[in-house]
Amino acid sequence: MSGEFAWIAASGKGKVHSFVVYHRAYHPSLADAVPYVVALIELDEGPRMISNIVGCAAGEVRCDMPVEVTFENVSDSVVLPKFQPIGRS
Amino acid sequence: MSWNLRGKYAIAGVGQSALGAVPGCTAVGLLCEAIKNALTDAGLQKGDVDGLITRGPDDVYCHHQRIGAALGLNVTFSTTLDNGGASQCLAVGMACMAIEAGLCHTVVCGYGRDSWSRTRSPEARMRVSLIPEPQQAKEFGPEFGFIGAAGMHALGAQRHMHLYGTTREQLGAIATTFRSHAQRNPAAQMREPLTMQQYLNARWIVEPFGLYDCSPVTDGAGAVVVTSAERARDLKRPPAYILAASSANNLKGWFADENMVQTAAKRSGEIAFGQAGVTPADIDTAQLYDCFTYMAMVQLEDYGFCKKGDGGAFAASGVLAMNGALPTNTSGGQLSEGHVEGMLQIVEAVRQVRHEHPADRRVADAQLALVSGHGGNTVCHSSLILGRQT
Repeated sequence: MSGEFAWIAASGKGKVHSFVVYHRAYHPSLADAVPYVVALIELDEGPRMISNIVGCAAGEVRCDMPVEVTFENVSDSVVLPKFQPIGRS
Repeated sequence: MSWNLRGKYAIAGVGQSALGAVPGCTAVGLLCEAIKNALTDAGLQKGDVDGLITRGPDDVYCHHQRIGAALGLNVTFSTTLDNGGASQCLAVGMACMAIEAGLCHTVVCGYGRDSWSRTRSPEARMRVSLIPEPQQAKEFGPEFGFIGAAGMHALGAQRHMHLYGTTREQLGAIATTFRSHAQRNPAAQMREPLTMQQYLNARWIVEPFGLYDCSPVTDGAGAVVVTSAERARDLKRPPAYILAASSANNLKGWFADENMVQTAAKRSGEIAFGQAGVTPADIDTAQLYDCFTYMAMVQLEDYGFCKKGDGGAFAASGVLAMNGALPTNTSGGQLSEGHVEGMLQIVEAVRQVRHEHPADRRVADAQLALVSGHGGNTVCHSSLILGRQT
């Protein structure tokens, strides 16, 4: 492993490596969000990251489904990268 | 890697505390009860113990010191392990190593928790996790509503279903089989009958896991006494010889490579079978770390009891039942006996190779038992093979 690290711009595209569906809100702040999908996204560049799938019903999500990033403004200072099926924007 | 400790050490005594809801008792108190029972079982006194390896709730600092203080025990070797659910089998392996190195002669290994009481006290109901706040993962998790161990393990189950066609009914066969074992175990936490229909109709915890895919929160403890085979032969009980003690840790993480569908149990198992000089077909009973149904299923594949991808069909074939070819989690497992982080899997394996259970709980002529431990953000794994003979 090299000690040389650099920032690169990712394409924002990837696929769903796996996912789960939360039907219950385990924190009060999630009460309006259920049911929601938490997914492990594999970016086309390689890294995997936890995010949410938005823009489709929970029942439509599949492993290996192609997705692309969409940025959600949670507050004035917080923006979260979420993912939606490609072609749904 | 060579291992020259095969059969040189043994588990000479086992013990446990009350299980399930044990209000008014701390995790330390429960473990002390289990340790006293294990020493009585072995026919040893507290003064015979000169080693102590423990694990308890994650927020107890220097846990072994708390246990030593409560028992009134000074020792020449002690530590607390931090490999999550893999710690308990690892503790037994470390006990062998410590004795071999001349650091001590007789080691108590134990685990205790008070999770049921903690999650039901008024202040605890506000918590979302039993993991202390400084140890919780911060980046990429809670902001996406990714909460709890069930979600983490369910990602693996979903991937396995996608790759191999594993079904909820197959996972349900594990839950219902282990429950049927718990019904024969008077100490078990979950003893009500469980049908496949109840399993399938239960509420989601995190899809694809329903209620019965998840082990319960438990108050309880278990302990074992490790000493030389020679010494164990002079004690009260037949020794359970330690033929293998291995570990493997996928430190790159649960999300890396295909670790969610092929766990560190594969490497740990290969090492263990090599140490003991036996194959999966030689194992008479398996006591697997079943924090969730899926984790028992994937380990059946990783240990080589069946092919990768066939774990669901294998589990659903009836092979894991008391009268099956590989009676598994014969005390009910963590799913039904109670979740004591794998410690009771070691206790049960010892009882099986000692042939001491009543007929309905006994694996016929059990000579070899495999035990697994798994945890630490689901990347750490440890294995034991225990034998009735060396």
